[in-house]
Amino acid sequence: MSEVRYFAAAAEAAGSNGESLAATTVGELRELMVERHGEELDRVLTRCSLLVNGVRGEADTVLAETDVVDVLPPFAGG
Amino acid sequence: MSDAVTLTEVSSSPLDLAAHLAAVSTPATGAVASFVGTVRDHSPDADGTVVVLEYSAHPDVQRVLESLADRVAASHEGVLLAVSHRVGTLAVGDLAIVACASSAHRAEAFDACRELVEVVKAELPMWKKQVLADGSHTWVGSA
Repeated sequence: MSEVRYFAAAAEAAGSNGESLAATTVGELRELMVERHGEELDRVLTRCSLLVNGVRGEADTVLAETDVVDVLPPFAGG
Repeated sequence: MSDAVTLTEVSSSPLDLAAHLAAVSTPATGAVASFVGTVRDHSPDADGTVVVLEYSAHPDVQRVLESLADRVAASHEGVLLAVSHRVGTLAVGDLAIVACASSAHRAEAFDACRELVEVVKAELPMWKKQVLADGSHTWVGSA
């Protein structure tokens, strides 16, 4: 299981700050997120970066058991 | 953190411009450039009057702020930098970001201060929720 952490608009759309999900790739994880939380999260995800242990992941990035995946909407400081 | 970065803070308390000015001022300082970003009552992302901003941050935000300031310091020799960002609930007029850069001469101070603010806005892992007068809200950049 990977530990997923949702932030800001992604946390609001998921209705959660995080959860543990079983997926073998980032692409599969994304599908699982949308399956669980619906189209609002799907919409927000189109603008998000998914970081695997702090490094940007692509759809084919392979996930290991202990990975932490951060779902980061576009930064908006200042 | 580099010696050229004298203050970096992500704080839930009000930001103190004077503390940042003092943090970059030494006997060798001839110029201090400062920037203050404040909460305004309107936004291109919001259809209505903004009354409150809620800033949230990634748990690594402090470390990232330090590394961004280090990077800017490394590209401006002789400059001292101080920068802080507020987190939590802010009202219109509150200070969201304070950045100061000092140098022997004004050009380097202006350039470094500008660059510091631009990299913080682009790369600091923070998010901004705008609450409008009618109670609705929008996430800046995430709509």
